[in-house]
Amino acid sequence: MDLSSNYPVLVWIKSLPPGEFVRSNWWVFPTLQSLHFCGMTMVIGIVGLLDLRALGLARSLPIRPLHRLLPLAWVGFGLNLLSGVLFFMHDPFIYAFNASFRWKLLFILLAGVNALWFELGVFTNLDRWQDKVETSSLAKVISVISLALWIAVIVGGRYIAFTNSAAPAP
Amino acid sequence: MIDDTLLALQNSAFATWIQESVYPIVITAHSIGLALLVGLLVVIDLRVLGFAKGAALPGLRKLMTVVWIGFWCNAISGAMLFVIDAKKDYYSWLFRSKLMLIAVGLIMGARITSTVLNKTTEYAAGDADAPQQAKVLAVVSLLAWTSAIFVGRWLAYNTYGDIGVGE
Repeated sequence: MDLSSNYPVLVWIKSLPPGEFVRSNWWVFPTLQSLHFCGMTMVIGIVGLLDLRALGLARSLPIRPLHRLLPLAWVGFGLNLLSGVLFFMHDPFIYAFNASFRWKLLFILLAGVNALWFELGVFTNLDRWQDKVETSSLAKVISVISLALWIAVIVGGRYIAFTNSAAPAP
Repeated sequence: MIDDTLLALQNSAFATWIQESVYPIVITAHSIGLALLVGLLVVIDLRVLGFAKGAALPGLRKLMTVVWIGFWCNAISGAMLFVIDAKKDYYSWLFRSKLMLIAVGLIMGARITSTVLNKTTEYAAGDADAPQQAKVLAVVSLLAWTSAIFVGRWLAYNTYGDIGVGE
């Protein structure tokens, strides 16, 4: 049963030019997916490295220079936000009611809050655990949560295709 | 001859099991491995190119352990993905290009490791500049991995991404 008429906002989003552009050019969707994977490696490569460092891997590396890579992680995040919004606009009905997609968004939000916790709760006190020094247990807890959340983001993203997308009857 | 082997692979009980029971897990593992393998190699390339000065190059050597974990994760999950589409993949130039791009990426990683990361005294300073030759390797590495991601993604499209399938 086609319930799309019950969701005028989604129908409107789908009718906008960006969605139309993605749908009518066959090469755009796979290109956006490829960029989404590239952005993912930038975000998780850099954030994951900070997490692994806080957990004690490569302890000889000072964390401050690694932290300066974060603007590049934001470039990756921006790339993925843009490609992600275009996925959604190409067909909102694939995503809006999909539980995996909703979990993925929640995990990204939580990873963001967790990163903010790291910035405010740990990074401001960084001088206390400068180079080669054991990181605080708070830093380790935050890092484990960060790694778990980013892996959960990947799982959520991958499972969108295997999860029911049907709109609930009103 | 090779066709018989490829068809035997993709018609095997193992292939059916992958397809029916673990396919979502396999492609998810392939993505997680990608994040570890390429994500950390990108960071190493960036440092070679002059980003994150202050972090000594030999200090990055420890990351290679995690890079290899990501590699094996993807070699195993990738082999499983090959099994279910053995003939299509074998005759696909996208698939062959992907393998070659991965080989190039790995060789660049190995050469950066041996010429820079392993030179513990030469590049011990946090802000030491990597040699010009290593910077070339880092650029080739970034291009190879980015291309491998694109080719891998297009390989997943049966309808229009599947170019060059032999019959």
